[in-house]
Amino acid sequence: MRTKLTSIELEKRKLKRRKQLKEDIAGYLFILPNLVGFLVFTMFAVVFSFLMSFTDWSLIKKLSAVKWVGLKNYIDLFSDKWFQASVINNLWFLLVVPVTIFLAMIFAFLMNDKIFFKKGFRTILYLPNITSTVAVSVVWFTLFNPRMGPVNQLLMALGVDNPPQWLISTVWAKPCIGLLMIWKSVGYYSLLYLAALQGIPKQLYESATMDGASGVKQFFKITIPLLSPTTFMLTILSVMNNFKDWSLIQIMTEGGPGTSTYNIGYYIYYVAFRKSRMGYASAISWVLLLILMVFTIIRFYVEKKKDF
Amino acid sequence: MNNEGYKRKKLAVKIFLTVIMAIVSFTMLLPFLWMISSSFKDSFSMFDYPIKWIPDKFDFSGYKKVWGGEEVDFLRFFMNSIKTTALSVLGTFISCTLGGFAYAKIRFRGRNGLFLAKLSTMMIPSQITMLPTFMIFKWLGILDTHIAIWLPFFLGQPFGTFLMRQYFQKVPDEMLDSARIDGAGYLRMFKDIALPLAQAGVSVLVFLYFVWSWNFYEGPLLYIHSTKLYTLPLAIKFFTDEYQTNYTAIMAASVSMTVPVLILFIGLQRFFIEDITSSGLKG
Repeated sequence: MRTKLTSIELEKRKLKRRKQLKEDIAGYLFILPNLVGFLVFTMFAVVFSFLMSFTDWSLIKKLSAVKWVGLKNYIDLFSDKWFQASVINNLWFLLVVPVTIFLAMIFAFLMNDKIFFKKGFRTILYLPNITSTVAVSVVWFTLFNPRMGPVNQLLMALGVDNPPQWLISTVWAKPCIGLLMIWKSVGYYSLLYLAALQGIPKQLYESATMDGASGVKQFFKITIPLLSPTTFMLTILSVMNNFKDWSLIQIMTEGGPGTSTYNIGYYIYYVAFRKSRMGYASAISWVLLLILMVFTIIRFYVEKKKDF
Repeated sequence: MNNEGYKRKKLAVKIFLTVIMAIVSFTMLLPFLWMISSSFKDSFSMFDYPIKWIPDKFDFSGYKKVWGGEEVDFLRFFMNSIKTTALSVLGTFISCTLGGFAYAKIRFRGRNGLFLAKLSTMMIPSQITMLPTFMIFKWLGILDTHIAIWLPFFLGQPFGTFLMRQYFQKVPDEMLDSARIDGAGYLRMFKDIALPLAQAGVSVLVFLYFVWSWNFYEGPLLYIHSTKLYTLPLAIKFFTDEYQTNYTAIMAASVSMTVPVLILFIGLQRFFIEDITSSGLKG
């Protein structure tokens, strides 16, 4: 009697194990491409990059000739004027964040039942986001052409004698690029805000209207507070992008004039592929990761705690 | 009476706000209008002030230069872009739907840990993996080939996998169970049940990755050196640096590059713009 029970039990267990094995095989076959990508292009790459950040690895050198230099790359960063300039520029570029977010919020507020043709506006605002930066850069180059560009012609017609040199001026290149950044991302952000707005119950606005609260008041007392989770998320995301996005700068100014538009992300590309100092570039990218981690941790902590 | 006045006032506000929004969106459209308008002008009248948005005389020399194939082989760059984009989108579709389905519906051991690991790779800046990836491609001998552009898309983009997992999670388990009783394996469940139900997700995936691959600049910039292998973004950047004065041709090239994305987006957007929005929020 007893032995029979265990044999049934055993049989059951065996069946279960076989079933699990089948699930395992199916699962791993399905994620095989994902897994290969993860192991090779993430795991291996991360370890490789970390190790190389302690070496004098360069593009021209054979891997066997690479020398271990310890913390030298990280220490060098402190006296690297270009790196410091990139960090300072990055802080400047952060000004783009509040402007973009505030505009996006207003656009979303308007597009949420306050205006006609909202679907059409939604489409138009999203267009810059899906357009190639390279294609748009040509537009920017001609619009802001110091001598013949329409922007400066307009300024001169308005009586400005010495209009800015825009992309070739160390002062005005940053705002010019900042404008492009805002133009490209504001539509996407307002779409995200719009989705969040649609989650706010309409009754809140209705009862506020009954109490005589104006539209402006409703915006500040209801919309802004209830959107704060989205605002927070978008702020963190856009700050992080500001540090790491480099292709827009590569396309527009290649960091120039001088060092005036370098950001950390672009400086890494520059050090790696223009100076072919791959080891040093690896070290900077780990510093970049550290900076980004700080924001990720802040986001995680705040979102957990505030119970948004 | 009072109510009537309130309604009228509300309508007036709505019209007023619509006008403001129209001005704003028109301003946002100006760069596009400038691009299209100048692509039909010659290089001299392009900078005429005040701006003639509709040129007096349409000048097709820019388009002729671009598509005529005498000075530059634009058609080749266009075909390069079509080829790499098609392969990238195909790769994304295969790897992300398969992976997303497995992470959502197959109970294999280690699933949650692996998914979390995959997800966390989204936080790693591309700068970290960029240099090792360059070396891997060098060792594989695929630097300066199109393979370097599309290969990574076959290996499961984290965002796409995450996106598809979201959609596959909505597929009811009962439907899969009844298929299982009928003797269907996971491949058939995936193909016949899950994939058709996740169609909205697939269209978002395909659209987003089409746009990203079509505009993909960083990869080709790092991995491609031969001019004949350039994709459109690289080619236009190259023209801009080389033939700075010939703005008309560069504008014509830019328009030619932008039009396919615009057509696709305007034609399809009403089907899934809500899905793009909500997927972005979750990501």
